[in-house]
Amino acid sequence: MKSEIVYELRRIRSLRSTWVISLLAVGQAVSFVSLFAWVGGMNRYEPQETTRFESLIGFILIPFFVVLVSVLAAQAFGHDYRHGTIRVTMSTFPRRGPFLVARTAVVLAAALLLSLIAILSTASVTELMHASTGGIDWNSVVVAGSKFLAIVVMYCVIVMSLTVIFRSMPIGLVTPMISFSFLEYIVVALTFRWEWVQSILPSVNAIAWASDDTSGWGATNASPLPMLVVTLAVALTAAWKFLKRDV
Amino acid sequence: MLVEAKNLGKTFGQRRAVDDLSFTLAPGKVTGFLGPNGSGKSTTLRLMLGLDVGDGETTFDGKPITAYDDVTTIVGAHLDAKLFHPQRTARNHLRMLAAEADISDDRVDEVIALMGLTSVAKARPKSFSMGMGQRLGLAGAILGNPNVLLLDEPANGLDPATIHWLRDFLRAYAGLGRTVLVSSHLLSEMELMADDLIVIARGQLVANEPTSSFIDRSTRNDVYVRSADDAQLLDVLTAKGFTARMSDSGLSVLGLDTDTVGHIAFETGLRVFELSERRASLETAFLELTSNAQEFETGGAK
Repeated sequence: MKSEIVYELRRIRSLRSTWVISLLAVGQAVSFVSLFAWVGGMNRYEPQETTRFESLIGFILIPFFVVLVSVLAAQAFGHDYRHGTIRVTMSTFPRRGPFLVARTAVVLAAALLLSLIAILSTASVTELMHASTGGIDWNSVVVAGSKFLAIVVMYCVIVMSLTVIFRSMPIGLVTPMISFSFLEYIVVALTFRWEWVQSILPSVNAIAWASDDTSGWGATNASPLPMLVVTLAVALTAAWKFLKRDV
Repeated sequence: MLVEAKNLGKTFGQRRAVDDLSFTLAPGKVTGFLGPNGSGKSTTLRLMLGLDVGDGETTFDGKPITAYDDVTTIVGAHLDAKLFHPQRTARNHLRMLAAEADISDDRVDEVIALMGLTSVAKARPKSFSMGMGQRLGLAGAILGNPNVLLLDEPANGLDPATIHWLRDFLRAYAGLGRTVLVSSHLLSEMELMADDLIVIARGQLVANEPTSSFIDRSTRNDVYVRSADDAQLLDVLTAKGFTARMSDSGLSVLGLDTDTVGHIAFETGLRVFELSERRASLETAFLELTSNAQEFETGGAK
């Protein structure tokens, strides 16, 4: 497994896009949070909302940061399929199982590292900007930050799995984005009488869980379970296909 | 290292691309892998490497490829000239592959120099020509000094000097006791390079033998003789039960050597002006022996 991990580390580090995406992800998170805190600071009636780390996660980190970081997950297999290098990769590592585990582990480790940097930097920025009003609640940073990390992992696994299933980076990236950003809200609109349908929607409920806010549209079950089920389903399908089909 | 492909098979939809194909690759030899377009050569190579899932198995000294730890030192494969990320430098591409068997950066640089890629080692290969891509692919294949090389059309896009170098390199590589399998459409090149041939058509084995004996099977091997009276000589040869016909202002005699034809002409009292053995090329033999198995035949290939 060591050689697979070294290979993956060299793969991910040797691409300029890895560094560009990482900088963009963390940079936009810090910028948006700064803007959010600054604008919120002008609201003298509810300034505390901008210092709730759960709110930052719900409004900024999940919609933008997670999607950017997931590009790294899509690239892991997407580049291999797009450029045909999957044949070089798999003839170098013919044992597909250990390779799949190593690649997933390295991609998730990179995503988690970036997420930790984003959490710490955005929390620090918020703390600095609201120092005069008591700063940020660091307990909420730990709790909400942990939930956020779980969402990053699940989202990246979904993106990577879809890329493997369809052997396509665009499908891997766009499908969950459209599904979670638009389709789920359309489903909410169409099923307003059937609350149980809304309770099994993966994205709205996971965001409600992470941001500790059930006031969102369709967030009737603030739980990560639906998203976890979707994650496991696509991950198992992708693993089965990767292990059993032609490269 | 002895490579044994046993009962390889692969079906795409309704089409049997490779059908019960078995052969052995002997160490110390360059084996040419020939077949018309669509005959299943690339699919066979992918099956051997475990890239495609199909029937049969390939063993390397009795073990499947997945049983080895440092695969890069066992099998080196080069399947296409463009199998690299266009934004990753050539050196980083090779360093990445080197991780599999913990190969040093020094060896990476050595292979880069061997392939004449030093000046572009830190360049991104998006603008590489096909020849440069072939060199980079070959560099990846030999990185681990593997016991077995499997190469799919490695000479495509190479200039004549590099083709010459590749031929010498592969023959020298096999000379060290390694096993080399090369698929190619450049039959003249293969004739010079390959000790043995595996020829397939429509996914089935047509021939698996030394290159010389494959060419010997061609009916175009003959003895050309031009004498004072070709018609008389033709009658004499035919009367003795040999196959001969008029050809190019002389006679084409099949199944005899020049000594025998010269002796018969002498016994007949005919002066001989020209007597030579005409040997079919690999291309002639290949086209003749696979003429009924062209998957995608052109209008002129009749």
